[in-house]
Amino acid sequence: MKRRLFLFALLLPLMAMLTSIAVRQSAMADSSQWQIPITGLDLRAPFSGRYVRFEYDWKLAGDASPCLSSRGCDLCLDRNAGPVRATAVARGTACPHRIDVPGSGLTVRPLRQRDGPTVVFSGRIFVSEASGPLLAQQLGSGRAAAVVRLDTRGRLLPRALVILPAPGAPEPAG
Amino acid sequence: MADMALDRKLDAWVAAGLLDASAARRIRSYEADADKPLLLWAVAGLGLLALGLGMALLVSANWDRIADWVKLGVHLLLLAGCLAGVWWAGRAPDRLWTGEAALFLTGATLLGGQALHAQIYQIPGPVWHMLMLWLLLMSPLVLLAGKAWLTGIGWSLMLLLGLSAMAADIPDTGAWLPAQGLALAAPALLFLLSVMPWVGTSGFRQALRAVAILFLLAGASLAHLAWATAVTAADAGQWAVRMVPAALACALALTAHRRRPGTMPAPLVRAILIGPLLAVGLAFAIPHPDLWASRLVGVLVYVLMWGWVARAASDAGWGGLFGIAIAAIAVRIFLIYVELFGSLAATGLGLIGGGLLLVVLALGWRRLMRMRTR
Repeated sequence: MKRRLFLFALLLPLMAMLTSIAVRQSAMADSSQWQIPITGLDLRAPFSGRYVRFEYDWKLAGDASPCLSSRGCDLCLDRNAGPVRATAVARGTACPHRIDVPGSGLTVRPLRQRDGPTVVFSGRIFVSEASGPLLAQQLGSGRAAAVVRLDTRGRLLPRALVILPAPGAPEPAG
Repeated sequence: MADMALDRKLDAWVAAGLLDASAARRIRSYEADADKPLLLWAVAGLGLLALGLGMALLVSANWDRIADWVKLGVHLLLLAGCLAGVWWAGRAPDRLWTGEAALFLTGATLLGGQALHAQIYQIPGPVWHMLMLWLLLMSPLVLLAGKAWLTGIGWSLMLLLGLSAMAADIPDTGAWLPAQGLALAAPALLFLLSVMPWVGTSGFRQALRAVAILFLLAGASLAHLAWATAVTAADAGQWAVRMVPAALACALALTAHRRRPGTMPAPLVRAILIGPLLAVGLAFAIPHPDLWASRLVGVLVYVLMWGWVARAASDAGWGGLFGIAIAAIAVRIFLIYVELFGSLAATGLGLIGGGLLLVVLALGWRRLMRMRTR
């Protein structure tokens, strides 16, 4: 009996790690890829590595004020009319490209602008020490976008940061 | 350094006639044979540490250039290797330290893997989520395969850290209060595990017990500082709910110990489990104002708790714990005179009284120890 328990205990961490990879990879398999302009670059180097924190520069629609409260919100992404648009909706609302804001680890903060208050959504991506400073330099001199994947569970996963072409030049397809 | 000290002591013992010269020579010869090149090991260990760190830094500097599947694959291989090490070491009793090292590396690799998954898949959440998941996945293996003191202490500290981090982060309301109480219950749970025969080996269980006793007594000693603040009826109500898991864990530990009394004398177990529970309950779960009278009650509760422990430890022959209990009482009595009296004259008089009390305590302690050694 103890031997069986020992074998179970021995395999548990490995099984858990494998299951975690399988579940996340399966959610990623049907994910869609988006290229969303970003702004507000903030290079940090905490204990856990070097993170680039950035703000999504999408066209925000709908009432985003619940996103700031404990109720939270979801966002529906679409890109039918040119730039990527994010529409704030109540949690759990079904839409083709739904972002689970808390589940994606997005930081939400209010921002006062000339045309009224709005809400800013921040994400982060890990970059290594070798490529961090170069990326920061590139991003500081031009417009940038985050290449993200949106999985079937509504999790938004930043995969890379890219530099957008200068204004006037054709933008790569999203 | 240690050899020189031993030489000096042996010379002194030979000079005092306690030891003859040939016995001293034999002791020197034995110690020379048993001498471990600690300095050499330390230098070699430092070199290996630098090597490992260097490799880790090289990898981390180029982290985002390595494909995710490579990172995940290498991690799985490392984890499987560590687990194979635990399994291999468990097949023979003479592989104690190999097994413990493999267990330690498994824990570290698993924690690293959780961080890796959080980074690759952008998993948000507070740190305690990761710690609790680690405890869930590692605890069965550590509890079944743990053998050494060091492993027991490491796992116990992870349990305390995980539960404390959770208690500090979750809301102070409703159903979350008992969950916060789990952090209070953790030392008693460790004690409960320490009397379970299926848990590790006796060395591992002793480590769990040592950590449990340390955190029960130190925690209750710190908790008595609550007497120096006002506790409202609402606060007291919340603390009463938080105390429920701790009370249940103490009851379970007492019951389990009654069934296996060989591990520790029952009166001492009662003093160590019930004393701190009562002390914390009185300090937090009873409303009181911040007045000197409350502080005095706090000191009295503290002295009674440690006095109970001292008495039980003395009866059980636990000289070390007895000494700690007397020292804890002495320090608190010393502090109260600084705390309670405002003027220099009153503080001076208080310190004289406290000093005399401490001298009496020290003399009583010495007498008790002498009676014991006769």
